[in-house]
Amino acid sequence: MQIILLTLLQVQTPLSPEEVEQLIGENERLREQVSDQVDLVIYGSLIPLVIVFIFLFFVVYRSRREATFRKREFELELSKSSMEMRALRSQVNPHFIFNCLASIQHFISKNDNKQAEYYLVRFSRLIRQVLENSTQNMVALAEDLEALEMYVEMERLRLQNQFDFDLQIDKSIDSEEVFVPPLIIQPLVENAIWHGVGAEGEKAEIKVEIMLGDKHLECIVENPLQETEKKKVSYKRKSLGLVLIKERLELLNGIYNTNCSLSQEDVGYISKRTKIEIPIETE
Amino acid sequence: MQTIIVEDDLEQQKWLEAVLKEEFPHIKIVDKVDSVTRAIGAIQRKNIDFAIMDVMIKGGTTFDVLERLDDIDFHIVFTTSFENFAIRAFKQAAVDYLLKPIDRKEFVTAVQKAENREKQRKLTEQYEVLISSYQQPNTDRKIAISDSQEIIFVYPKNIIRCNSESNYTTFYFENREPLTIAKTMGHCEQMLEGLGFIRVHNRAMVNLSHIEKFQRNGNGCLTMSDGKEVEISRRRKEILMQAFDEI
Repeated sequence: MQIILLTLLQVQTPLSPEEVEQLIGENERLREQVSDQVDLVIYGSLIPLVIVFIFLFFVVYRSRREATFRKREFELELSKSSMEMRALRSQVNPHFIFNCLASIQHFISKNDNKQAEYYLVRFSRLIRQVLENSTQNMVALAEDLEALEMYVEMERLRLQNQFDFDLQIDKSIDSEEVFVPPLIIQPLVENAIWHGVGAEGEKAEIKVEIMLGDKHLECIVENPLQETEKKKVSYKRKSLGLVLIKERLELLNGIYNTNCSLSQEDVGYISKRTKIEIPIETE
Repeated sequence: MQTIIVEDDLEQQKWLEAVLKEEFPHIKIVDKVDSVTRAIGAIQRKNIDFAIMDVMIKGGTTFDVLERLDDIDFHIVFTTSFENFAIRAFKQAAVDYLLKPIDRKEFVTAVQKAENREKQRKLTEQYEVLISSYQQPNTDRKIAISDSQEIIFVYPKNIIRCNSESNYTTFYFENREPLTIAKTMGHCEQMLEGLGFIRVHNRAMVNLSHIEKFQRNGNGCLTMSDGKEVEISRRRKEILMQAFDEI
């Protein structure tokens, strides 16, 4: 038995070093083959995973982007609606309203009933027009100028014709077909009257010129500089009316994708010129 | 002229009376009332030629008064402060109205106009339009359109389109000659509100049911049932598209 076992072992053992090398090499090759297959399985199954991941990434990215868009849209809507309110506020300057009421009071106290009545009716017409225009984001230039003329008539009555008003519109502008934000010019004219018409002295001239620019209107309001204004060092201080207009312009620039601005300059020491660019819509 | 003042504001009553006495001494004010029931009673009892009527009065509106009268053969000048439903009805019936506070000159002109006009049969028809317009704007009821010469009564569905040139508006019909009136497009837009019309341009308004074709070139263009083309403005195109969607 032992002998048999021994021979068996002898049969098993006679491996030359070359054979061992060969076997090791074989073993390595097989191992590599297996590991290649494993790799193939692992990477192969990763591809769909990656695709799913990319897909998910895009879905999340898109929904985020949409959310940002929606948010921006919402903000724009919000700014639009707040702009309407702002428009209303800047149009009906409380200062002007109470000045008008005070004028009516003066006529009443002087017993000038006819004049008081006339003034009151004009005032109510203006307020009616302003209320109507301020419900809209854009109105025909013709309508806006109608309200402006009504306003100027009130001021002339109140200031006893101490100023002349000259409105010039570029002939190429069809005021029925050009649409502007309501009463954005009026506060500039109000400002010009406030600074340009003195308590005494000669008649002042308030000039308004409207021209057609590239995708916007250009409006220049000019008023004479008063003696007191010339002396004032700090007269460059911005009035509240102009600040409100600038805010409105910024909102409008956002909505209409424009770059409209408001600027002021002195013409010698004679007059002040306020220039505004207004975003427009056309028919 | 036997005149009645229907007005719930007593100060306003006094003002109207004072101006009438000053400017028209021959006009006889037979009554001044402030409510629906009193107005009906007074008008039925007295032979009225002319009335000045405020819209909002005690117990309802001036339309409630008109509805309950059998035959209205007297001229009325309406007064109102801010009632949009009333203003639309006035426009649809082509009747005169004054906005409060009342302009003295406008008031005098309105009274003069009433004085100079003879009693005409059309008055009753106008008030019928007025009452129905006030109740409900309806395409099956006639509306009144008036120029300086005449008043015509038409079904809104027979109006194809309107065109305006500054302060004048021309109406084009399928069954009669065009008519030009001294009213702005804004006025006519309010008049035709709720009757199936849409303003496609600052100068043009169309009846939706008379659109035959829509061409997409440029801003777009409509061909109407009379074969005429109407240009669409860029800024109003969207509203038209919405209207198409709703049909």
